[in-house]
Amino acid sequence: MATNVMTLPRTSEPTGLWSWITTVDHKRIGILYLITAGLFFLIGGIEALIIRTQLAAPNGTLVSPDVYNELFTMHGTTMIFLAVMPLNTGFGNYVVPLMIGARDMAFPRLNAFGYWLFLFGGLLLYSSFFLGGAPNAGWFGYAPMTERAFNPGNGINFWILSLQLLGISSIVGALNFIVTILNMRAPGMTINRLPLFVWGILVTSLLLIFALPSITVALILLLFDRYFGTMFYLPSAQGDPLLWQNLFWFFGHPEVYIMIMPAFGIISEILATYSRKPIFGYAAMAFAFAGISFISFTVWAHHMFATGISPVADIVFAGMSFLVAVPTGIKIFNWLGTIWKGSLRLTTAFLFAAGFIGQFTIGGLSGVMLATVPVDWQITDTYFVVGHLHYVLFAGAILALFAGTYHWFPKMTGKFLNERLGQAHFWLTMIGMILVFLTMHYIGVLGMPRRIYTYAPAQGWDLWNMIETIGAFLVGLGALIFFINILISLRQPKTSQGDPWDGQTLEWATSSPPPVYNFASMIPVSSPRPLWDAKYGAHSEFAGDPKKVDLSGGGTAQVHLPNPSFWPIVLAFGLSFMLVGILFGPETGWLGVPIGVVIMFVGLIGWLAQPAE
Amino acid sequence: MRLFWSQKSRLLAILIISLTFFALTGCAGTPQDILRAYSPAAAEIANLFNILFWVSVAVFVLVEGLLVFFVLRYQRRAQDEHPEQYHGNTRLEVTWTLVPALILAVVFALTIQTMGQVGPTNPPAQGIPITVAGQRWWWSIEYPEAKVRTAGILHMPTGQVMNVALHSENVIHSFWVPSLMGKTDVMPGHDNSTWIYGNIPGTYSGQCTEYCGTQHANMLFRVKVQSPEEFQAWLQSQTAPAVEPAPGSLEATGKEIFLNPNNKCIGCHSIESTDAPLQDGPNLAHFASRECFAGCIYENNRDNLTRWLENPEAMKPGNLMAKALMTLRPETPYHPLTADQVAALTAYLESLK
Repeated sequence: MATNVMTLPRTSEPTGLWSWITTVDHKRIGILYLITAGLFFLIGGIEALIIRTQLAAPNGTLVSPDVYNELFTMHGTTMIFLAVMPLNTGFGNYVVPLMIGARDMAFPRLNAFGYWLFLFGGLLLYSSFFLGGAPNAGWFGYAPMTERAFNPGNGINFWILSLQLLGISSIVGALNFIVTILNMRAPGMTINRLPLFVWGILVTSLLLIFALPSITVALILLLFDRYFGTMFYLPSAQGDPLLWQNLFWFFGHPEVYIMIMPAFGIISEILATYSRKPIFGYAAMAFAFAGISFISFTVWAHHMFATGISPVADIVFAGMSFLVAVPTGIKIFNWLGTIWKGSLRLTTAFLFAAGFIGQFTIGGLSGVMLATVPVDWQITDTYFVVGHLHYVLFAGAILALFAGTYHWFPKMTGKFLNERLGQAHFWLTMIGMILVFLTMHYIGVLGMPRRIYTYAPAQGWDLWNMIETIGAFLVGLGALIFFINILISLRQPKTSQGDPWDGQTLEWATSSPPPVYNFASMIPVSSPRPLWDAKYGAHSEFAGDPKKVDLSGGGTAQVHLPNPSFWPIVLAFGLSFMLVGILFGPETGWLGVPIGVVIMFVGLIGWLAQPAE
Repeated sequence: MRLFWSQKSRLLAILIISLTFFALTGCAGTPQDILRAYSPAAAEIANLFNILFWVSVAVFVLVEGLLVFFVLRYQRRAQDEHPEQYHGNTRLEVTWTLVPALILAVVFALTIQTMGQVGPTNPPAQGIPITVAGQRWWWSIEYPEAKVRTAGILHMPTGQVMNVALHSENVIHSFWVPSLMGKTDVMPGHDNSTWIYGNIPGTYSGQCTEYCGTQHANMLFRVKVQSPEEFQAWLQSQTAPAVEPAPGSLEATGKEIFLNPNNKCIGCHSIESTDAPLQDGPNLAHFASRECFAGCIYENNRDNLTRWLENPEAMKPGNLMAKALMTLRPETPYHPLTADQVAALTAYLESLK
């Protein structure tokens, strides 16, 4: 093992609230993302439980139809934009620089800027509850129901502008990841030695760059329709509601993969680690990432089979949708190959990863059923779709995020999550999930449409809805145990060594939690699992010829760490203020816009004037 | 008439359906079950669904079986245990790329084949044209050749294709009768078309399946498949002009209240079948001959009608009628009519046979 000690500018971490507001450290920003998104996940979960309570029995009266419509809109928007995406970004922020042996992200202040935009975007969206009503047109916001003629309240305006903020946040985050992963890898870590989680984040970032412009445009057109009387989506003036659907789903379908690719990465890391094996078919896995993301841009109209697009379009989009199943199948079987003949340690993280394989498969299979056009004509917009999408996003993304939490929590805090509580969390989640989401497929076949606030007893859906509600509360109980587990563990003393799970990748090659500068020394990288090679040379075919790495620069190299900076939050606040100025523009004479611009300008000047390190 | 299916294939399809898991676990009392197919088109789709379902079950059992077996079989026994480091196996990987691809190719072929048989733009024949309009939140149903406009219940004869034009002047809805036909969206701006065909008399449930606002959940309708004679008799009865109430009767008072513009009824409703532009409220011609009202969520009887007219907001929160009538008696916004008015209007509506 080549060990090169370098001179370090500072080794102790700053403390206090101010240090968090001005932080540009990728690990702290990662933790900020995880905590904020974790809280939004909790809120989105509470919304889900209210929805399930309303639907537990026919003719439910817990909430009014209008409140119900706000709840399912906010549940979807929250879980997608404020929970799963930023949770992925949080893990990416924390883990990716460590995994590639970097000291920080390529643009640390931009990283902080992205976080503050996410926070302000989330707060803006939720302030709608107190300022005239939440958005109520579904997370998909189909025009023309989002037009003022059919939706005069302010909720849709909040939705448009907060999604724009979140979009900017995602774009800067994605650019940062791409530059970081392409430029800041440790010596020897070629692109075909990237750990698969890094692959997942890289592909996700590329997807974001190409997919987000489409929804940005769609939202701007809608904003113009609502504020300035254009009629892009209004058929009364030759506008076209289908334009919204095409623009939205051109973003919306890749968005599914944006949420699930990091999960694929997390699962790959965890299965390999707890099996003490390399990932089976690494190259195929990496190509599957690329293949799925490319195909994901060519399947968007499978959300629109019932809209009356031409049969030829139906057939082409169905064909492309079937094609996605091939690389997804490769992934499933390669994961099975990874644990085959392994030395499996059944930690909570591994259990969640194994549960992911079993349950996510159902999401893939029901996806094939939905891509079958005639079947889709029957089951689209029923609970079958709700079941399917939760099997992809809950059984997929959320299970992986739970697994990732148990896996990386010791790295982040130096403390272990309680395994017994973890097992309780796992079993409650699995049983609850099957009760709620598998039953949804069935009740969809029984003809229950989505997005209905109530139903009549004559439909024969009572029993199944009650089962779903019980399942949802089991999932909720599991999540409660999970949060309690985190709180309890944080009060324990630090017991984790740098490498508690016998890890394979570089994040385990430093202390837990890592120092501000991440690594004092770097081990050589000659495969996707450099730490494994370093520890068990005898079990690695790469051990024979480790490429020697010299980072010391003759013992004189300085570690450059970026300065804390106050300006990212100022710039993010200015931008958010400007959008709030647009939101209340008609009432306030657009005064907020110039004020926001001035704050942004001050933030930019401060940012540029401050030395980066 | 010669259609693409035969009685035999339909029976076969229904037989296959009855053998499925779904038929075993529930069926009776679920009127919108997509596998409870009562038309050849719905049976074709149910058939395809079942093929996919069983293929999926097979794949799931394979994956889940391997997963559970591996997890039980390969647990770590010693702390220093080091398994052999397999990095992959080209032959296996090619297999699990090609086999799923082949299965999907077959599914793709079945998809195209079935689309040709049940596609909304491929009606098996030209039959009776009708226009179905999605309103907030109820369905307007129009027979343009007979100049009949009704709401909530679609009457059709057995053995004839209904060519349906789907029309919306507000938001997007979706037209769906699970037992008879897959859904097609009702898009504002351009009329989609679909068709339905039924050969088994009966009443089938339909529901709007594209989220369309506050009362999306209560936008139901029924399809009554009748013998051609019954259907013709019904259509004839709907073309008759409205019955004139006897002077001085309660019904006559009701009609007066209805026609008084101050009460706002005629702003949204008409009592003569017409092909004039759609109104926000259902056409009430021959209202008393309908089984259900208010988006087909209430049976049409005196009790329900009275309660509806007394307090429409309580009966269907957020409906446009309750909104429109809120200013009628500002002191009681959700009770817009007096008890006398309600009684007279109920009597009048009940006379519109």
